[in-house]
Amino acid sequence: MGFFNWVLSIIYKSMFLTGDSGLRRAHVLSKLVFTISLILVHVVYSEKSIAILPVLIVLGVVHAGLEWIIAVLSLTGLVGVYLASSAYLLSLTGLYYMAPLQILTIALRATTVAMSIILLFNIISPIELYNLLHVLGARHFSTYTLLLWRLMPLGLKNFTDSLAVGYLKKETTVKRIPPATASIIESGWFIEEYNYWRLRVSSKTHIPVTRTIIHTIILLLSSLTILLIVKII
Amino acid sequence: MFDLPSVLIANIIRCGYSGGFTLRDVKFNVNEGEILLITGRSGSGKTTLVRAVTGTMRALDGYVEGEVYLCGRSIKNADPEDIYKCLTYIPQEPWYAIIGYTVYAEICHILALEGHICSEVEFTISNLSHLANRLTYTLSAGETQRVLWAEALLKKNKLLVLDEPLVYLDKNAKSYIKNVIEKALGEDVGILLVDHDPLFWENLEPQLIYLRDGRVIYYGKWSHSIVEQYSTKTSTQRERRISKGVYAELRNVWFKYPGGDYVLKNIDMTIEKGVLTAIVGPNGSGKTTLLKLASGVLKPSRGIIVRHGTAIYIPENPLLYFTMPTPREELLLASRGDELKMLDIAEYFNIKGILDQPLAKLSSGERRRVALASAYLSGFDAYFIDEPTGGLDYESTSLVLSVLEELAERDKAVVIATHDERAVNKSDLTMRLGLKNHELKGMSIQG
Repeated sequence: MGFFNWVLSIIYKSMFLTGDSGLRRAHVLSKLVFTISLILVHVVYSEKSIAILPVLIVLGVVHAGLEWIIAVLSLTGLVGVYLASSAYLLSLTGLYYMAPLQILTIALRATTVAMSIILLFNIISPIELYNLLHVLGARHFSTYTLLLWRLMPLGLKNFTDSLAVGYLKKETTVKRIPPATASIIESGWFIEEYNYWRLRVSSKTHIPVTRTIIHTIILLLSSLTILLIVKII
Repeated sequence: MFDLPSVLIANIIRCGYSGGFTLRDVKFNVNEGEILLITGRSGSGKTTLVRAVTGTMRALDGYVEGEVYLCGRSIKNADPEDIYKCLTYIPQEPWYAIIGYTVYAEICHILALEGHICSEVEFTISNLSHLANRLTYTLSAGETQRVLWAEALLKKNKLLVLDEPLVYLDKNAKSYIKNVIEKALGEDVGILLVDHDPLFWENLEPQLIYLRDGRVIYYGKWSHSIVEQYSTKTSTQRERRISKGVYAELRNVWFKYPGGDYVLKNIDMTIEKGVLTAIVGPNGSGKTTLLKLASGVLKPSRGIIVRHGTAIYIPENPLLYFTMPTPREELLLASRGDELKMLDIAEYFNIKGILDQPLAKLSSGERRRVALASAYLSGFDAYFIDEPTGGLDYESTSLVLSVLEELAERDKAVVIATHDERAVNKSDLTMRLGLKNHELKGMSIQG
C-alpha cells in the first residue's frame, strides 16, 4: 500500500495541485509558442534535450512552487529510472553494450520528456479549451472540458480514499483495486443523473479568463531560452 | 404546451427500475409560490419520485408511466433547454452535481448556459468570493452544497427540486437557506422538497406527501399530527457513559492538503473508548479531515498520533467503503463467511430486504446502513463515521444511533462528524472545531 499510495499521491500533486493559477494564466499564444518550442527541442534536437531540464525545473517552481516540482521530479524520475533500468537489463543479455553514461542519458532524457508533458498538461486551461470549443461551434461539447478536469482529480481522490478504507479493512491493494475502480464508474452514473439536463444544454457564451502579463512573459522567455540552449550547445 | 399556474404537474401511474423498486399512483402538483414536502422512511421512494419528476429516471434505465409536466411542458418530449430553464435540482449527494473544476468555472458555466457572462458581482452576491479559486474536489460536502445553493439563486428558475438540501449544512447555513426558500416562495418559485425532518419546515406550512413502501399514504395540507404520527422521535434521555480508556492520542497535530493551507493546527485530543464522541463545527472546519487523521486514512503533516487497536473510517459517501457489489456479499465478507451471523445483523439493521440489490442502486440511507452493518460485523476497536445519520428518517436514525451507542457500550471508541442535533444529543463528548479569522482550532468540551 505504501509505495502504491506514494505513486498515487505524486501523480495527484503533479497533475492537479493547482487551479487557474501560475502559468495557466499566461496568454494562450505564449502557451502555443512554448508548446512548439518543446516539440522542436524533443523532435529536432533530441540529443540535446537534457540541457533544458534546469529551465523546466525553474518554470515548475514559478508555476506551482516547491511542493509541485518535488512531486513532478519524483514522478518523472520514476519514469527515467524505469526506462534506464530496462535498457540496462537488456544490455546484460549481450545484445548490445550500454555505457553507464548512456544509461544516465536515457534516464535524464526520459525525465525531461515526462516533465515537458506534465508541464504542458498543467498550463492547459480548461476554460480556454471550453471557450475554444464554443467559438468553433462545438458548444454542446464544451461543457465536457470542464467536467473532465473536475472528474480526473475527483476520481483519483475517490480511488485513493477507497484504497485507504480498504487498508483499514485489512484488504490487500490488489484486492481493493476493483471496488475502488468501481466507485469511479458509479460516480460517473451519479454525475450523469444529477446533471442530466445541464449536459444537454449548449453554452451560450464564453467564460472570462484571467490572464497575467508576467506569466505570459515568463513563458515566452522560457521558449526563447530553451531554443537558444539547444542551438548553442 | 399550456399556460398553467402549476410549475410541476405529476400524474404518475408507476415508476421505478426494471426488476427493482416501484412507486405507484402518485398525483400532485406544485404551484408557483408553493412548497410541497415529500417525506417518508429511508427506501420509501422519495428519491425515486424526485427522479421521476425531474426526468432523470432515463439516466438510470428506469421508467415512468404517466405524465409529468414541468413549466407546462411534458418531460417526455421537451426541449432540454426548456427543462433546464424551468428546473434547478439540488441532489442528496451534492459532490456529484458539480461540473466545474473550480468554483469560478462552476458558477460561470451555470451562467454561460443561460447566456450571461459572469463577473465578480455574482460571487459577491453569492458570498462565494473566498471560494472562487478553490478546486471543487477539495470542497467539503457543506461547501459543495453552498455552491449549489448559490447556483440555484443565480439561475432564478421557476421550480426548485431539493433532495435533502440541508444534510451537510451547519446551523447558520440552514437558517440562511430557510430564509432563502421563504424569499423564493415570495417570488413565486415553486419548491419540491424532500426532507427526513419535516418539522423543520413547519412554519412554512408546506403541502405534504408521506410515502411508504412505494405508495402515497398521505397527500394534503400540512398537518402536525400527521407528521407526528409517522415520525418516530429519537429519545434524548440517556445515561452518560464513562470512558473505558484511551484508544488514540493526537499530539500537536497539524494537517494541510497538497497545495493548500493548514486545515487543522495544533490539535491535541484523546479518543476515548467506551464513549460516543461527536465532532461538530461549521462547514469547512476540518471535521472530515480530523476523522481521517484519527482513523489513519491520512497522515499528519506535523505531530504524532498514537493508536491502540484497529480502526475503521466510514466516509460520508458510503460507496467508497464497500468491497463487494451487493450487501449480501459485503456482509458475508465482513462476517468471514458466517451466514447466520450475517443474516442476524441484516435483520438488526433492517436491510434484509435489500441484500441482493446492487449497492449503487440503493438509496443513500440504505447504503449508510449497509456500511455500518459491515463495519459492525468486522469488529474494529474504533469507529470513525462521517455524517452517520445524513438524510436518514427518524426511524433509521434511531437505529443507527442505537448501534453507535451499543458499540460504545462494548468499549469501542466511536467518533462521528455530524451536523445532526439528534446525534449530538446522544454523544457523551463533543469536540467543537471552530473557524475564526480563517484559523482553525480545536477545543474539547465535555458533553
